[in-house]
Formats: sequence, structure tokens, C-alpha cells
Amino acid sequence: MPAARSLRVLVVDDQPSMRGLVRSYLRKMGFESIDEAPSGSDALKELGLRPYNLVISDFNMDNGSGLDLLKNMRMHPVLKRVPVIMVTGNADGETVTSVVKAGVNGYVVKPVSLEALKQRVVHILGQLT
Amino acid sequence: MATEEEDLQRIFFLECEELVASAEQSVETLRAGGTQDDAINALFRAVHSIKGGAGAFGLDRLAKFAHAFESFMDLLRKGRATLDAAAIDLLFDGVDVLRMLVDEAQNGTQAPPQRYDAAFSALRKAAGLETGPADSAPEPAAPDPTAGIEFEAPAAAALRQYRIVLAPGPRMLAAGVDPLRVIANLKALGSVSVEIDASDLPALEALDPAVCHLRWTIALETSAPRDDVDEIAGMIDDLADVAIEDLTPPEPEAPPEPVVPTAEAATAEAATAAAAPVAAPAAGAPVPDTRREKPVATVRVDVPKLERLGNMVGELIITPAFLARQASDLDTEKHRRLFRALDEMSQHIRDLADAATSIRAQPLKVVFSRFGALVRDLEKSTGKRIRLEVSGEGTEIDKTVVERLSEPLTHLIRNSVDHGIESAEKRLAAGKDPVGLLKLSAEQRGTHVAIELSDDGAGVNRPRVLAKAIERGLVSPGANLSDQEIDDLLFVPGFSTAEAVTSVSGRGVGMDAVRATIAEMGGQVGLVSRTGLGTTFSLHLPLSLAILDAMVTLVGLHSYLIPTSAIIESLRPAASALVRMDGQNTLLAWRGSMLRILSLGAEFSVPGAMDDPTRGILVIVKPAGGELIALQVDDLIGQEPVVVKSLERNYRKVRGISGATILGDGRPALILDLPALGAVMARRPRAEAGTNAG
Repeated sequence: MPAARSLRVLVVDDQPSMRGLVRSYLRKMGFESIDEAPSGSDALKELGLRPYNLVISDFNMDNGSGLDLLKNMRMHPVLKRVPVIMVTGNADGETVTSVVKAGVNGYVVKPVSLEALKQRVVHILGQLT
Repeated sequence: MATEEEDLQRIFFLECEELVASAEQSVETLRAGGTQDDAINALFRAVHSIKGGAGAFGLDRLAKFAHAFESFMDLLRKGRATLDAAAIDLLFDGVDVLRMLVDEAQNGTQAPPQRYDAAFSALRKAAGLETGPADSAPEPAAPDPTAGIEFEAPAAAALRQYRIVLAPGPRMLAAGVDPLRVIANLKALGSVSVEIDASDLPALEALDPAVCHLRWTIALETSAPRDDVDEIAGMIDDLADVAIEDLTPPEPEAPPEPVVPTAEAATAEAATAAAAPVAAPAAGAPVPDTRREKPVATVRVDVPKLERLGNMVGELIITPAFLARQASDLDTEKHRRLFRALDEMSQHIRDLADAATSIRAQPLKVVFSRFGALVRDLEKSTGKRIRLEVSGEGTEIDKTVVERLSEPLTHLIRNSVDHGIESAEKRLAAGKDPVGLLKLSAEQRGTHVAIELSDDGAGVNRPRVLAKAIERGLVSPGANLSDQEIDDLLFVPGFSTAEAVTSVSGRGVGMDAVRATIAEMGGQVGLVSRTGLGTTFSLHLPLSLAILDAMVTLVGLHSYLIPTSAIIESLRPAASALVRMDGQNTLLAWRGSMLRILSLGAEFSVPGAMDDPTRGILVIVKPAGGELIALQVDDLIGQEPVVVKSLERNYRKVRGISGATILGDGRPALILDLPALGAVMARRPRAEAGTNAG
């Protein structure tokens, strides 16, 4: 069981309020190392700076989509193994298929709730302490 | 609700303002026939973002509406719905209601139910969502898209470490290649720490500034492939020696714990500083870590905090004036250093005030962007055709001003469309473009911002205005008013030129309310109209509400303040320059024209004020849009920045006074409302002699 506070998470969203919300949920789960990026390209920069155990990204962003970020990560020799949870507004088949094909590890439909997010995170990282 | 969530929600509402404004722009672009795909996508995203946040914060009505809107946008985006005129109308409506709902969620001002219902059901219908009672429509439960899908097992990232030695050749600088650029490129791949070898640095007299004498050893930790590193090195291999060594230890079997990046990482700036030959540090000295945790471009701050800062700076700004007064008895020679310090402090505090003002500044775009939709609505309700041209919307002004400008500008625009711009037929008959042009512009002029709204309509119908004014007893029959004076009647309380109250501008807020609102903010409104050519309203607003540069004048024992920006000249009149008319009027002959004199002592019934203008001082001022007037005071004390306090909030509204303040010496003083005084003067009957002189 990994200790949440030993894991580093990157939250990607173009809306500060949504990043803040996800961050507040992550803190409630016990995470302490939480970084934020306002876009996919910023996220890639962050990912190059330090290793992350998990990325939680918005799907539909103003400046490059979460899908692009996911695809870029999956093409990268190292980042391809970092788990990604995608937060999306729509649960339509098209969106789901596209992120699943691109290799997403989990999927949360907006509005994000603590419970839904926690369920996904635990599914991916295992029960947290 | 937890405080954190409240904070986040506040941030969300700020985002909503931006999102709604951007949505509006997108719809405007769509209407104008701009690049459709981009605008549709931008609109979709804005609505989508509002929906997501609204859902997260439990703002159900907003979320539901945004959902319907988004569904419609999705169809448009995928080409499954046509973007015709009706669709654009629906989008405009949708954005309008969206704004109301954001307002509703934020301030509890309920959006008009009919508009909400109408737009909501129209969007649902257009989006092909089942039509049903609006508020009982259940949100479709989100399926679990991860059910039955095997996800790849996660693993942590692995990093590789390289040592790169960069030794620029003699031609590198001459070729225009900056070695630091190479380091910057490497930095883009991962974390970098740089050591500088300055051992080859010659003595200063032997130094060739065109040759790089330094060498760098770069430790790179990156998850990027080796190819990327080689590629960067390859770009300069003819100009420098680059050696790359892979120092990565054998693959660890367990996923590594996240590590904090090496402490010695250097920024390009640090390297730049160190690379200046003379300032180069000892060879091998590690460059200190100056990398920030995260680049921060903006910080959101609560408005009350800003207001507190602004108020405190406002209080501070009067301190130098106070000290200067206390020190005014001192010998300037003996206390030269004291005076210099006073000067410096005064300058620094002014800079501080400027900085505090700029923090609160917001672009006018926030309010200007709403007018596209307004003009469109007006086109529909009046049947006139109008093109709105906006410029200078990036001009920044105090946030409070931006917020309070919306209503007066809306009224001015309504007024221009209703009374200014003619119907297409009339325009054609007058040889004009059938589409009326409305120009809204803003520009900063010194410490003020000038906003102009001009139309190319018929201009003020002066005979009708005058007739109306006489009918309402505002002007005595037979009075001979100048064009400017007639135009000014539009701002007189209770005046309205609309024959019948129209649905557009006859809404109970008259032009007098516009002038009052602007005056409350320390600004002025003027209007210039040319018959058959159009009308221009100009608003002159201070950048900041809190601080005013004022001339302190003395009337009796009281101090009155005149905004310095309006002062043209002050003089002690010779008896020969004064023309006494019958009754109470005295005129001043000044630069070839006759100015009316307004004695503040008489106007405000100040005890002990001087009657005789030749013993006092006349301050010639230009109220925005009004005529020059000469204000009679007893004496001038000097110029002083003052903090404007509302008189209305603390006492009551007084005509001719826009606010109050405490002077540097602790005495209270009143700030004159020049446009109101100008209006008072304009309404007084004026003797024949004055009008024709000059």
C-alpha cells in the first residue's frame, strides 16, 4: 500500500478553480506533493522536470487537449508508463474510445466528486495509506 | 461550506466572467461570418468549462443550462446542426442567459424566468434533447466508461543522466551562436546543473571580447531520448566541442520514489550573469539553484484585500503634503536634507500609488464585449441597421470603474441607436450608408481614460430639445441658448426627448443619471453634436477613484477643491475685465469671449466669502462637454493629491459637490462637481450681451 504523501501528482486543467478543486480532493486523500499545470504543453515540461506517480488531466482545454497530452506521453519512452486519469465533461462513446485507445488509465466524468476521483485513484495506485 | 471551497468558487466566478465574455466574442465572430470552426470550438469550450465548474460547485440551474447549450454546440461542432441566423440568435440568447445565471449563482439576483425558460427549452430542442418540463429533466447518468476495460499497469518514470562538456570554439560567438542558448535547449529536456570553467580566462587586457573563453560542464537529468540530446549537440558541432557521456546507473528494478530534482540546477539567468568574463566565478564553483518551484504568471487576490491596500496607499499619499506643510516654516537651506528626503518620499509614495492603482486595473474589454449583443438586440427591436466598431478595449481602468461603467454606457448606446441613428430609409434618403455606424473607443490620456461613443446619425434635434425644455419649464420661453447649452439640456434631470417612452432608452434612467454616475466616479460626460452628421459622447474618467489631484481654494473659512485636470487658468481679474449685467450676472471678458462667473461663496452660501471678484481669484475651468466657467474663490492655497471620500455615503448628496476629503493639515474640504455646476450655470437665464461677445 503506497503512502499517499510519498507520491507526486500533476493536475492539468486550464481553469484554476478546477485545478484547485482536484487539488483539494487529493489533499483529502492524503497527497501532499501536488503540482499544477495550466495546459498540456506546460504539463509536459513539468513531467520532464521530476518524476510523477500520477497525472490527472482535463480532457477539454483551451490550449491543447488532454488527449494530445496523453498521446504525447504515451509516445514518450519514459512518460508512457506514468498513469493518467482523464477528467471529461462527456461520457459519450467517442470521447471514451479516444482516450482509452490512447492509453488512459482511468476516467472521471464531470462534475468531479471526491468519491469518484478517489475510486479511480485507488484503482490505479492501490489502496492508499 | 468549507472556506477552501468558497475560495475556489469565487475563483470559478471570476473565470465565468472571462468565459462568458469570450463566449460572447465567439458568437460575435460567428455573426460577422468569421472563421467558423475556431469560434464554434472556442464557444463550445467556454460553455463546457462553465458547465463543469457549475456541476462541481453544485450550481444546478447553471449546470443544466450550460449542459443544454453545450449539447447544441456539440451538434454545431460536428456539423449536425446548421449555423443559420436563427441558430446565431439562439447562441446570443444562450450567452445572455448564461451571464444572468452566473450572476444569479453569484449574487442571488434571479434570472428572468421567462427568458431562462425560453432559452433553455429552445436550446434543448435545438440540441435534440427530449423536450420535457425544464427543471425536472434528469441529467443522464454517466456510464462507467472504465467498466470492462483493462488498463495498462502503471509504472513510474525513469530518468537518464548525462554529463555534457561544452567548449565553444573561437568562432562560436562570431557566428552569432550563444552558448547559453545551448544550455537553455538542454534545460528544456530535463533538469540541468551547470558548472563553469573559467580557467582559460585571460587577463583583462588580453581579453578578446569576440571569443568565448569559458567552458561549461552540464549535468543533465532527463527522461528524453538520447537522440534529443545528440540533436542539440549536433546543431553546434562545427562551432564547439561537445562531449556527451551517459552516466545513468543500471536500471533499478523497483519503480523509484519520486525524487526532488538536483539542488544544483542552474537557470539560464544565473549562467548569463556568470558568463560575463569579468564577473566569472572561480573555476568549478557551483552555480546556486535559483529555479522556482513553479512559474507564476498571475495571482488572484480578493477584491477587499486590494481595496484595503488602495485605501492605505490613499491615506499615505496625503502624508507628504501634510509633512510639507509642517515643514513650511523651516529654513530650506538649513534643513536641505530634510527637504530632499521629503521630496524623495513624496515621489516614492506617488510611484507606490501608481503601482497600487495598476493592480486594480482591468481592461475595458470586460464591459465593451457586452455591447455587441446589446446592439444586436437594438437592431431587432428598432428595425435599424447598425455596425458597432470597438477600439481601445485593452485600455485599463480601475476595476470599480469598469463595473460601474456598464450601465451608463448601455444607456448611451441605447440613446444613440434610438435618437441618433436614423432608419435605413431615412439614411438612404440623406445619402448615407443604410447601416448606421456606432464607434466605441477608449484611450488613456495621462491620468485619465477617455471613452468616446460616436454615431453617424442625425445629431441632436435642437429645436425639439429646446421646445421640450420650454414645455417642461426648464428654460424660459424666448431664451436665447447656444447649441452647446441646448445639448446640455439633455443631461438635465427629468428631461427626455422621446415623444413616447420607447422600449429602448425610455427606461426611467435618463441622461442625467448617466452624468451623475460618471460624476460620482470623479469623471465628466460631454457631448458634441453636428446636425446631420452625428453625435459624440465623451466620457472622461480618472484611472483611479481613490486619489484626485486637486487645487485647494479658500472661500470664507472653507476649503473647496477643484480637480486640477479641469483647470485652464486662474487669475485675479482687473475691474475692466468684468462686465456687470442687470440682475445677478457678472461676466468675465477672457481671451475674446465672455465667461459666466460662478461665485462659490454665493452658490454655497459661505459666510465671510468675498463678494467683489476683483479682490478674489477666478479659476477658469472646463467641465467635460460644458462651457468654460469662471469660479470665484477668495484665494488659492495650492495643489494637493487628496483621497476622495463619498459625501453621499457619509452624509447625503449635495448638488455641486462630488465628494469630500481631509486635507494635509487635517481640515475637511469639499470637492466640486464641475459638470453639475456647469449645468446649474447653463440653466440660468443669460443676458444677451454675453452670448454674442467674442
